[in-house]
Amino acid sequence: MKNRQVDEKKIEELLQKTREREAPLWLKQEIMHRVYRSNPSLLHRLMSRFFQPPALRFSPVGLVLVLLIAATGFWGGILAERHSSDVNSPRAVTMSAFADNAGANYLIGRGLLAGNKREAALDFFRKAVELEPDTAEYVHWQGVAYWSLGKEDLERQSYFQTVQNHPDFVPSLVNLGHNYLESGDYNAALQYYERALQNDPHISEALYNSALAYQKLDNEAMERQAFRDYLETNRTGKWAYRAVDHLHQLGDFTFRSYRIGIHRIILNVTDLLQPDSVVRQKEVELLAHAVNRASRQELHIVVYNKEKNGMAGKTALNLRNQLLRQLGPEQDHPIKVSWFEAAETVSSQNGENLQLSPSVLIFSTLSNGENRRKSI
Amino acid sequence: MNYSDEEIVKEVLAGEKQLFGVLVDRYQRPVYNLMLRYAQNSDEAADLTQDAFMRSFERLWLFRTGEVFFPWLYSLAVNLAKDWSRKKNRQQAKMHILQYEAADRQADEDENNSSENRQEIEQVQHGLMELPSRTREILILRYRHGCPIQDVAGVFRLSESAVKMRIKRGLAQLRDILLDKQSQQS
Repeated sequence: MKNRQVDEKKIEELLQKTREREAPLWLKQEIMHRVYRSNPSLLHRLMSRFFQPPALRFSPVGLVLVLLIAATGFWGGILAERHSSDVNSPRAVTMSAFADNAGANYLIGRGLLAGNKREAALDFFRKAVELEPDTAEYVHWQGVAYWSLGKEDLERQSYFQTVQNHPDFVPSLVNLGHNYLESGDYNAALQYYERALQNDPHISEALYNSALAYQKLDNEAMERQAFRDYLETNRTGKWAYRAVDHLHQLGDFTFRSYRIGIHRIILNVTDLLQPDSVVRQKEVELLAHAVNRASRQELHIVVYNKEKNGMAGKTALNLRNQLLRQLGPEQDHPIKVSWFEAAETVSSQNGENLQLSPSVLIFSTLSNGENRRKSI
Repeated sequence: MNYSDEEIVKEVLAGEKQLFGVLVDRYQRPVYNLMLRYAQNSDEAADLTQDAFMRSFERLWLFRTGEVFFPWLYSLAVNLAKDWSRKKNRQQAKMHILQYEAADRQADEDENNSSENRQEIEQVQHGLMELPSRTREILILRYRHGCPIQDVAGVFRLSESAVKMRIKRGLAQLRDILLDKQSQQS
């Protein structure tokens, strides 16, 4: 384009030759992980069923369902045969519901619900509850079937019935929490989540949704605490990343996510930077696990601390040593540490610059630093 | 065996999820670069690329027989990038522009081009980043990826004549930008 000879033909030619960067090597792997984990939506399944030719395929869930129905059918047949002298018609026992076997009704209901046959499933659960109203699972699953049909009031009544007879039946307590959360009664939702967590403090849905309920109630302090509680025991999956985002939006950087190789990990930065190695241990273990999974990666740990002179360097070296001990003598990942007696500047989600101190930045690079692009 | 994109889509819909990897292999680069142009940050671009492929996987059953896969995928990716752009603070994106440019120089696929030609390509590449994003993407899709006007129109939901008009204007704008830069240099 010298001598100002810029004509459109020339630009068109140059546009064809513009260069593109290679996608990262790990990208495909990450996408395929997500693809394998994802299930098709209900709409997709329905459309596929109606618009695609049928094909014989092995499905473990389908097989279990078929066997279950066949077995209960067979059992029902035997029962019918045994009592045939007592009834006028030998076909009195049908697959619509078993007259006297709550367990069979419940199992078939579960199978039908798994196959998205909701109305039919509800009939079987109702029959099971009618036969054994004190069995918590039957009443609970009747509630689940009502939920799947969008009948929230009836769903709630089923769970009430369960917790009335079994006050510590956690699945119904959690689902009551969900039910109230969806209906907008956040205080009631919190009350049931709390009861569920008293029985089992690690129920992730109850922890996460408690935070959402507090958010709806504009109780930032409790929202923050609930997300922290959730992240103490949940560090993987999209909800964990969302919890980290929620905390960051609240200006709380206790937890941060870092990319090590192709994986992201979430670490409790406050614990990781504690002087006590026992407090750091859990976070160091998580970091070591991520480092072990990342092949050919060089790990970089950058510690920031503007408050105490010499503290940043000491923390960085302590971290490195503890991590090396955790990785063991055979580890071959280079670990580089650096430190600044200054605050780390990060961008908040609304674009503001925030100063964090103490803080740590962790990332990895390909250990040989070579351009790994290959041409065939 | 070399399956066409459309054959692969059919197989994936029939349950052969692993074949989706072939589509990722074929198109991750253009989609990643599209996202890079919007996000100007390699991490964000990688995340957006993942989201674009996941969105296409989840909506694969909507892909109609007779359609061409790449423009269909690209259309999803462009919409995703635009949604992301709207949400993202522009100032923050600008902070990463240097990172994008520096890394971009590492890509060296046109070793056969002369240094003068390389310089010209680089100028065009920089000029593209100064165009409105829609115009830029239309030019890239048309010339870099060689998409027919009809497909470009489909991706951007424009009429074919509107696409032709935008290409013409885009080329003129790009020429002005390049002339401007030349005069600044001299």
